[in-house]
Amino acid sequence: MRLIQRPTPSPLHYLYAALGSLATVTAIVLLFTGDVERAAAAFTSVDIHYLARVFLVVAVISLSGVLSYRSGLWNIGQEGQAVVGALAAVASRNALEAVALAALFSTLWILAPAVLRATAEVNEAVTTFLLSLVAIYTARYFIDGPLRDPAKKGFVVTAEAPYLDILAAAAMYLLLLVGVVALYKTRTGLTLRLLASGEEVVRYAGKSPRVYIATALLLSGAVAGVGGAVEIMTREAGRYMTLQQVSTGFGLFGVSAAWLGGLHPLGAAAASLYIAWLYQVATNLKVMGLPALVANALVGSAMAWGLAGYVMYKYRVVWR
Amino acid sequence: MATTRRDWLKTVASFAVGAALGAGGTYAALQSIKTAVEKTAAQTSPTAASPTEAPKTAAGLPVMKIHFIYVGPIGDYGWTHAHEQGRRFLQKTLCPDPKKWCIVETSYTESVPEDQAYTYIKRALSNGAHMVFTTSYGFMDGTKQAASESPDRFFAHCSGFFKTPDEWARLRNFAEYFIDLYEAYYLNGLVAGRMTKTNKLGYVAAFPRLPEIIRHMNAFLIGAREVNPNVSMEVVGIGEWYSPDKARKAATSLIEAGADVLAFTEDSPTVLQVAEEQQKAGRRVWSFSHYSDMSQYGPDAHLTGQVVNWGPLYLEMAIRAYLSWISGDLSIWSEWPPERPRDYWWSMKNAYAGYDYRKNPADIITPLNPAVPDDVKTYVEKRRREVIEGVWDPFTGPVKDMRGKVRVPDRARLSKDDLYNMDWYVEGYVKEPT
Repeated sequence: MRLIQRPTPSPLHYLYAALGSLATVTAIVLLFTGDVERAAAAFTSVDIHYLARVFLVVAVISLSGVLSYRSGLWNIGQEGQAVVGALAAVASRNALEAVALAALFSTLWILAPAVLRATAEVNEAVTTFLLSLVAIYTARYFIDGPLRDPAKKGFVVTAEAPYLDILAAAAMYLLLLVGVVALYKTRTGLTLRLLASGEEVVRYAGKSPRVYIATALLLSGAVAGVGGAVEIMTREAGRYMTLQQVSTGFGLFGVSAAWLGGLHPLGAAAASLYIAWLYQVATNLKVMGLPALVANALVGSAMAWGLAGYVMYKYRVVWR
Repeated sequence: MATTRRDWLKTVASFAVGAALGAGGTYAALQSIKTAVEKTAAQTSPTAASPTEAPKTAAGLPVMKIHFIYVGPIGDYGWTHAHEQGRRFLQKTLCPDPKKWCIVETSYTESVPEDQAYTYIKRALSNGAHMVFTTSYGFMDGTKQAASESPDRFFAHCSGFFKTPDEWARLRNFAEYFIDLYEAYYLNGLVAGRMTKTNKLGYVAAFPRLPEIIRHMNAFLIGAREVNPNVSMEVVGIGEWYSPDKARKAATSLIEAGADVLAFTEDSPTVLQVAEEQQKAGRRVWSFSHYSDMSQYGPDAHLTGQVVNWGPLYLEMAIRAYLSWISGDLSIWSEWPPERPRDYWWSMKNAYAGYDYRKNPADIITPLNPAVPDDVKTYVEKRRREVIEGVWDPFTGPVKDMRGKVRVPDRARLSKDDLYNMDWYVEGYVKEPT
C-alpha cells in the first residue's frame, strides 16, 4: 500500500470522512442500543444549552488548531492552554477580565515552545504536549494554594469563575471566527499559510520565518486559552476547579474539529457542531446506562475520521 | 482589492446567515423528529407514565425511579465500584422480584465529568427519575441547583456540605451524606503498630492535603502509636485517586525506605499487591483493603481493612424518600432522626454486631488476618466495641500535632466540623506530607 499525493486535491473527501464518521456512529449506537427506537432517542434528544455550550468551547479551541496547523505547526497542547485559561478565569472578577487574562496567560504558556521552535527548531508537538501535563500540576498548585476558596470548608476547591452568558460567548466566538477568516485574507495571513509549505518559501517571500512561526503558535495558544475560559464560565453550576477535575478533554475535541473541518475556520465550525452533537449523543447513551467507554469511543472515532479525511484529501491510496 | 474585500465580506455574511439558518433548521428538524419519536413511543407504550405519576406494582404500590450519577467507571474497584455495589443492594432489597413486589427502579450513569453534573441530572429527571444520588464532591453545586429547581424530586449528594443554615432550610428535598472511615483506619493502625518490625509505616495517599485523607492518616497513626509509641510514618502523595502505576512506585519507595506496613487511600489494590509480592519473596510486608474487600489480591499480606458498604445507607435513604414521596410529607424524609436532619453520616457505629461484613452488611471492616496474634485481636475487638458504643473515639485528647501544639485538649473530642476540616498532622510523621 502506498500513498500518492493528489495533483488536484478535492475538499469533497472531508465530506466522505464526515459521512464515514456518521456511519460509524450509527453502527455503534445501533449495536449498543439494540433497537431503532432507543437509537433514535439517543440521536434526537438535545439539550440546546448544553449543545451550544459544548459547540462554542470546541469551536473556539478548533480555531486554535486551525491557526497552528495551517502554518504547518503542531500545537497539540490545547488542553493545557485551556486549563491555564480556565485558571485565569477563576482568578478574575468579571467575564471581560477573564477573557483578557485567559488570552494573556495562555499566550505566556505557549511562549516557551514558540520561542524554542522559532530559534532552536525544538519540536513544538513535544513541548506543547508536555506542557499540558505541566498545566495540570500547575493548576493543582493554584487550586490548593492561591486560588483556593476558604469558604468551601475543608474542601480543596477554587473560587467560582464569573458567569458568561451563552449568547455573549456566541458573540465572542463569532468575532474570533470573523477575525481568523479576516486574518487569512491579509498579507500576514497569507505568509502564515505559506509557512506550511516550508520555511524556505517564507524566506523567499522576503519574510522572517521565525517571526511567523512564533506568531502562529502564540495566536494558537491565546485562542485555546480563551476556549478554556469560555468552558468554565458558561457552566450552569459549579464554575470551579477541584483537584480531581482540572482537565476537561475539550482541548482534544478542538484538535479533532480542526482536522475534521479541513483546517478551514468555517469547516472547523461545522465540525465543532458535529462533535458537539456527538458529545450530546454520547451523553444520551451514558444516561441510557451504556458503558461510558462506548460513549467516549464515539467522539474518538470522529477524530480518527478527521485525520483520515485529511489523508484522503491530500493523498491517493494505491493498493499494490 | 475593494472588490475582493467586498467579496469575502459577502462570503462571510452568507456563511453566517447559512450557519444560523442551518443551525435553526437542524434544531427544528431534530425537535420534530424527537416529537414524532415521543409520540410513537407514547402510542406504543401506554403505560409510560409521567414522572410524577408512577407505574404501580401488582400490590398497588408505585415504583420510585432512582438514578445514580457516578464520577468514575463502575469497574474501577474503588469509589464508584463501591457505590455501584450499594445501588445493587438497594435494587435487590426493594425490588426482589418485579413480578411479586418491587418499589424501586434504579439506574445509573458512569464517568460523568464533574462540571457537567447539572446537565446529567436534568436528563435523568426528564427520563422520569424521582430521586437522584450524585457521588462526587464536584457534583455538589449542580445537584443543589437541580434540587432548587425541582422541589418535587429528591436529591442526595455524597461528601459535600451546606454553605449556610439558610441554604439548608431552603433545600428541603436535598440531603448530604458520607461515610466515616477514620474509625476503621484507627483500628487498622492498632494492628499495624503491633505487626511492624521496623517501626516504620508507609502511607500511599491520593491527595495528602485533603481533609478526608488527613483524617484517615492521622487516625491510622494515632492507632499505631497507641500500641507502639516508637512508630513513625512516611507519606507519599500521588495526586490521583486511581493510578496503579504511581501507587506501585510509591509503595516500592516506601518499602525501600524501611516501611513494612503500608496503608493507602487510592482506588486500586496495587499497594496490597506490592506487599503480597514482598511476602512471596520472604519479606514480612503488610497492607490492607480499601473501599472494597481486596483480600484476594494479597491473601498473605492482607491484615484487615475498611469496606465501604453504601448499600444499607442507600436503603435507608430510599425508604425514607419513598415514604415521603407517597405521603407528600417531606419531613418524613428530611427531619428524622431529629438531631441530624438531612445529613447522613454512615459510620462504624451503624454496625452493631458481627465483626465480618459478609455476615453483617452494615459492617465496614474486613476480618483480621490469621497471622495477627490473639492478644492484638482481642484488643482491636475491645476498641471496636468502644467506638461502636460511643465511649471511645480515636481523636480523644490529648492529641498534639507534629509541631507539638495541643490540638485536642485532655479528654475532649473533636466536633464534626473539626473532623471534616482537619488540616493538621498528628505526631509521628517523618516529615509533613506534601
